[in-house]
Amino acid sequence: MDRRVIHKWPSRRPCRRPLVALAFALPFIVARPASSQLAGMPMPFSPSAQPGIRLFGDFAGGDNPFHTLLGARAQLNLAYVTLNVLLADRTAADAAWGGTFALNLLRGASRPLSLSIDAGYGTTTVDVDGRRIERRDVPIGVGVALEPQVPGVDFEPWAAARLLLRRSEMDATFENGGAPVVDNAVQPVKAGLGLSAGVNVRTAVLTKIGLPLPGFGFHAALDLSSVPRASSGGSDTALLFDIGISYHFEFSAFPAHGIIPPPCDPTSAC
Amino acid sequence: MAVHPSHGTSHGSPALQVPFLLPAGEPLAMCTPAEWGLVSLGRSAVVDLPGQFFDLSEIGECLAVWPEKLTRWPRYTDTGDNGGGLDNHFQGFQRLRTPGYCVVTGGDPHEPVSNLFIVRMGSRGTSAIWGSNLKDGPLPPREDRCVARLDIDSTFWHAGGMAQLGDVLAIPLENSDGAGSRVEFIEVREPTRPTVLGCAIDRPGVKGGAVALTRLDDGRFVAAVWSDSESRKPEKHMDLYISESTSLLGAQWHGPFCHTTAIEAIPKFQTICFLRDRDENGSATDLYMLGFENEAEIAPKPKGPHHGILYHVTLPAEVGGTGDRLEFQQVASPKNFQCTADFADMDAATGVYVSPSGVLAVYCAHHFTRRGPHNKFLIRFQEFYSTGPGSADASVNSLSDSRIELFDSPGLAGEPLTLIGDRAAVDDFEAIFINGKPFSKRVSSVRCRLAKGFAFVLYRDRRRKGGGALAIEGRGSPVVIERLADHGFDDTARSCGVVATNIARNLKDITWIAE
Repeated sequence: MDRRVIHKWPSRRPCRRPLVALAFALPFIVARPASSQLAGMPMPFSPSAQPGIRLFGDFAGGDNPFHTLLGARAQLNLAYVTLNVLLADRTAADAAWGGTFALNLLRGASRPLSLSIDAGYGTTTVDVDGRRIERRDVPIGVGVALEPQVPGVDFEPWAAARLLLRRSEMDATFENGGAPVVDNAVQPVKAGLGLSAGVNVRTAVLTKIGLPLPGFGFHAALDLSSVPRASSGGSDTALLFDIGISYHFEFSAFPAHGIIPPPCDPTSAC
Repeated sequence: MAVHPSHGTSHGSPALQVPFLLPAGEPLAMCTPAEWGLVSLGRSAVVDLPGQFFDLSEIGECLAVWPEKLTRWPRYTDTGDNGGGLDNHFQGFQRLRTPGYCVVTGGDPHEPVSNLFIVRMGSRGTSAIWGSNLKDGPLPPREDRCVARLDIDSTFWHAGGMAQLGDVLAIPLENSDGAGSRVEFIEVREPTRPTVLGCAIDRPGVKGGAVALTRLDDGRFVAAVWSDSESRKPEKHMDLYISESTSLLGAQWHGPFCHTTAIEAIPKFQTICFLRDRDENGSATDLYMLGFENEAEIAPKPKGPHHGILYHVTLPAEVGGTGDRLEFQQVASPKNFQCTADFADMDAATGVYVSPSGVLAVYCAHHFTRRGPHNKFLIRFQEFYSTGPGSADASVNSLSDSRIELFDSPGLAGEPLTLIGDRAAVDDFEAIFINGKPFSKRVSSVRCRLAKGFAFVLYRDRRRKGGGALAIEGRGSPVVIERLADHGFDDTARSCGVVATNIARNLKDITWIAE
């Protein structure tokens, strides 16, 4: 297949096929498919995560138009930093992937709340009516989690706000004189905002009924994002929910606090 | 077993140093015959035990101590960092015979290891009742702190509700995999230099969550081990053991003599305790058992209900008793206690104490060190005390046993501010805390139990100054003033103190109350 780029959009050069480009861009603007947050999934925050490896299975839904996703995530927490790698699968879409990196500034039960700075990268590719839309998201955010005391349960309610940088690219193939032509439109990077909140729960209580699953957990999150559209007024706004289960493999030899240590030992008079 | 000392305070105050500690990691020494000769085995008998038990205060005094890193942060918390503290919490509490010391047991499945925390209450005197150490603020004095941690056993990581007989602790050890249990006997005459007695009771295949210990008239010892969570039947049983000799040092035990029928109707206690009643002539008479629990399905639950139950016990002949079989006869209804949230829970660590003057008290700690003021995680507990041997009308013979309760409402209503013995001075009621919370400066009624030769004085100004003071003369018997307003003190007291009567008589414009 002869693939050649005939148009970059927007472009200051005279457009050879402005109507064709607009015709392909219009559905992209109107239908706003896959306005999802990070690889189609809510962006994960866990400022008070425990050191170790935690594996997640996710079911997410929402967006505009509504869709559902199945996702998987692996989280590596080394007390001061947290790494997340996530994959998501959606019908009529390529598998999306992404990752986040968090600096855990305040972490641990010695304070009533934890605080992290998170950044990530995610890419999603969706086929809509023959058009192939690829979206790259770079969120940069701040997450806050409470450190409640709940007997028998590691209960982490969290909330986060983020700046969302998005770059979208749309490819469409059409015939021109019998030869296939690829039209490529690239939106400039747009900056939006995202808000999310959720709970991460972990409990070893299943071991009390004979199930040897001390690291079992579950989680839920809501994620709202809004990014300005490239060529028209308004913004792409999407709300996603996410529920899932997890399993945690604990690392025991890491500090019980984040990058900024507590000013004083919480069990001593100082 | 190894003892780990506190690493001192951040300020390194010499006054806070413990006088003697074993080096960290050193195995616990065996008690020598010479040391055993110094061990006390007394105070298991109480004058008017039923009377004192039901006279125990329903609202406890709140106390707290600094763990000083010995709890290995974040262990013994119910934070997310500790997985919510599942299975890792305090299990037993005993105030020791040695003045100013108490011990707390705990289970840590993470290490795994069973722990005994040795606590020195440096701010408390030799009083029968300690009273709250949170009157001067929401945090305890620095000298009230853990001074050592004894790591007892790495297999049986659950140290449960322990028993005390004089200077001897009997600590039940178990775990959750059904591997059995053991009762370890430790002598704590010098609390920071505990020794083992070499008379542990090994219990293969069965659990042991709580233990009670008593001594028979012939000098032998009887231990009762309580188990109520077996994975196979019988789920609940009490096993009796009797020592072969009249010394616990290296003693061998006969048993177990397993009993199930006698305890069918008994709740799942977290703590059990044998005490003998003592008659007015000083002779020990009948044997009783005290059991404590939080009736809530899931604990900790501050509302409880938390209660203790008193049983008259007839021991069977197989362990030196007079009965054909083990019998428990409940004495009256359960005694209810109001445990303060984060301070006490009777599904956690409870213990019974008898003071040298014969005052019965119950101590109860919370499951966890929980976040408190200034983000501090403290071991918190409560003290429930009786008014003393005999009855509430019994005389008070020493300053250390004196007790003044100040109420912010007339008619002895409300939560009292309790002042104990020689620590009864308050410079400013506005700066005082009751159970960690600011105390209302309005003192409206008073109950005063003060030894002869002393007077309790309420002043109108701060720092125990000002004319027109009100004095209550100590007579050894309780003095109750339902309405201070009737004596011209309608919420006007600003400070107070206990002074010798002859000094009080020299105060100007003083009004005396003596009943």
